[in-house]
Amino acid sequence: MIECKDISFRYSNAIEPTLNKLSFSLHNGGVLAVVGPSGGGKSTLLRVIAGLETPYEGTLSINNKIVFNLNNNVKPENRGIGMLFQDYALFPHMNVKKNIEYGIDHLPKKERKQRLDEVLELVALGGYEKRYPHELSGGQQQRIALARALAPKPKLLLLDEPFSNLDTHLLKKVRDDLFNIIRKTNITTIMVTHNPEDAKAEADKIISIVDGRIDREVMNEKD
Amino acid sequence: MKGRRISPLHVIASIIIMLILLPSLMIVIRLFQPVTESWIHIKTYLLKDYLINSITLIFLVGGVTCLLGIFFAWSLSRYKWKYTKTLEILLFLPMAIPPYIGGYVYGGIFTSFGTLHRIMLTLGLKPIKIDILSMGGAVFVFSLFLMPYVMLVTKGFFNRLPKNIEESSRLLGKSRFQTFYKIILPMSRGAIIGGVILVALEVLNDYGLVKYFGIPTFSTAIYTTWFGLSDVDGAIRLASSLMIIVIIILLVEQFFRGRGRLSQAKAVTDLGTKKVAPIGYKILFYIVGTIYLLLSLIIPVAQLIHWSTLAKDTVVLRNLDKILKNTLITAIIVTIVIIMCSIIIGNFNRLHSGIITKIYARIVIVGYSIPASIIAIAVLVFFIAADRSLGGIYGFFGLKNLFLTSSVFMLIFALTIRFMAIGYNSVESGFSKMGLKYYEASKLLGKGEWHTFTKVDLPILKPAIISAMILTFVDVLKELPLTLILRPFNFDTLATKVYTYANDEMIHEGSIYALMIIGVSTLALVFLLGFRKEKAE
Repeated sequence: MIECKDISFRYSNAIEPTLNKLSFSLHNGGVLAVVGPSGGGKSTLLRVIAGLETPYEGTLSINNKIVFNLNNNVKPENRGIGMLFQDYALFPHMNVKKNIEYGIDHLPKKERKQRLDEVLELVALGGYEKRYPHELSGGQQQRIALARALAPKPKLLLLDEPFSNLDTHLLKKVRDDLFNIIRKTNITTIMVTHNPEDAKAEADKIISIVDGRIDREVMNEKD
Repeated sequence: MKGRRISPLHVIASIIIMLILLPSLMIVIRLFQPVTESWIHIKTYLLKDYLINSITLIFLVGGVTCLLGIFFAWSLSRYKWKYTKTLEILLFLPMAIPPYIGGYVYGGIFTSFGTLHRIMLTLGLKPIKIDILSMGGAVFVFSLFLMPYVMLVTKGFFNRLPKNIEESSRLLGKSRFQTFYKIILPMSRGAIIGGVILVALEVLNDYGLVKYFGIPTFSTAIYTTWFGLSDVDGAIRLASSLMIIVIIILLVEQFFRGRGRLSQAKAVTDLGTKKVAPIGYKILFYIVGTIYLLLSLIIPVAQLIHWSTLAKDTVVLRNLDKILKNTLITAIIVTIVIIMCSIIIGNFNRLHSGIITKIYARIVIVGYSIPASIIAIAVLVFFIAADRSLGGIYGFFGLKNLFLTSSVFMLIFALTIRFMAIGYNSVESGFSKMGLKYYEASKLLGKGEWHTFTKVDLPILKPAIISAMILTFVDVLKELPLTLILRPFNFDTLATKVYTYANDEMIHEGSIYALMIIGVSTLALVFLLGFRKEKAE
């Protein structure tokens, strides 16, 4: 379970806080969609949860373990969170295999190979190990980025505007594919999106952030 | 626009390219002449030393500047510091001090009864002896004053690296250091190698420092073979051996660039705000930064100022106005010629596309990778040949025999070839940013070539031209080896004066001239940084 309590964050060059006493919770295996106008603080919330930005107050816990409060701040690399970036952030100098193995290189060789095959199969891109990111289509890159994020078996998956780079006619298929994969793994997921359709289609719970505060919080009956 | 007829622009551009190329071609032709006895001597006994020394210098200086340059570039592009802008300028400024001047300063500080010796005695300590005039000393001095090259190139690349690449590595469980080592460094390989190549070319180009430190390298060898042994062919053969090293270096760069293309950093929308550095890193940065600035800027400048006050009664400033005039006029003429050639070739390349323009663009910038000693030999051989064939005409006009060779024209010609790349790159990037749309719009409004060029192209190009002028001017001002070899009899510039004084053990007297070079370069560089920032904003 993810629990976020009274989280406030301000960028060093800003006067107003970007996140202002934000609180919400999400049960294990749930999908939370964060919507709201741009500049409202949606992406900042993801970065704070990931540990890439440090709030000045509040408490954040994952599976009852505190990862942030004023006395304790677990580094991003130790939080066990996977993130799918808007433009995927695949390492351009590594092929698909190296990209995916990057987060699991502490595993023995045999297990590593097994996990690689598992996630590649999960995203239906078996046989693409040797390809470089620039040799893949946009949709394939996204699935590889997802495979890479899932390989270390994170407790929480963060999706930052996962469909903003896609053409409208592709959107529904890619969204279905992506969430089919996510549902299969039963991983707790937080997705930031500017498109209410995405939220309605996939989320269990939707929060809307305006000016750094939660404007609305609803449970969602999926389409 | 791309007519089949050969335009006047085409003709002029081709003439310029021929003039740049001819001297090097003549060297190649001379290589096929029979081998002389002194070349056999050089090859048997000396060549190995030159090769080992030159390569050792390149590797050690390349290594040190690489480490320091990456460290500073990373610190400045990723973390927030107090007075970041001032820090950036300060770390960039050692570039205004040519390595040979740095060498004279450290030579003077560490010599017996030098500054260090006297300070130790004053403090009641036993003086320590450090042999600075050695390979280690040369690496130390070169690294101090060439580091900014690596820093500049690498910092530009780091600034363009998408931030989420680092973040995704952190989220995949890697620490800051692991991320830097496994992701940032491999991705930046092309840029880092590019910076180190610049350093290597500067090391090969140097004459003043290695001569003063007594390290036999190709540049000192070429000079001695030509003037000491009067062996032109030996010098040419040495020059071509050096050229092989340069070609290998450039091939290495091509190789890494080609592979690095995959990892070209994209223009980034999300640069993110810079972070405050962790405390340990902060302390390290301040310690390394302070030591570096002390050694590369504060101590050398303070020492030069001190020496010049000591020399103010003895120094003969009688000829100062003449020396200043020589220096400035040479620099101004070379700058003007380079800017004009750059504009002509840049414009030609913009208006015509094809294999010829690609070749021209390569030839124009090749001079910067060729060490001064090679250019000097090539230009000298070329001018002597030209003088011989023009002998009849000289006779007719009552001019002396080696008219061109003994004039300042030869020096200006060589400096133009050597520094053409500096001006051309800047002007060319201005042209490519501008594209053809303004040109075509003007033509469609019924204006001719010349009108379009002066009223539309030139005003838009102005910032690029100003950058090009400043960079070229400063480089010519600091230039030593070409000027030393090719200057007419009794023709001194600030740089040659510093060289002469330093080699006559009169560094106090030379320090005033050195300070002038550093002062003008600093002003120009600070102005350029401010100008570029303003333009960017």
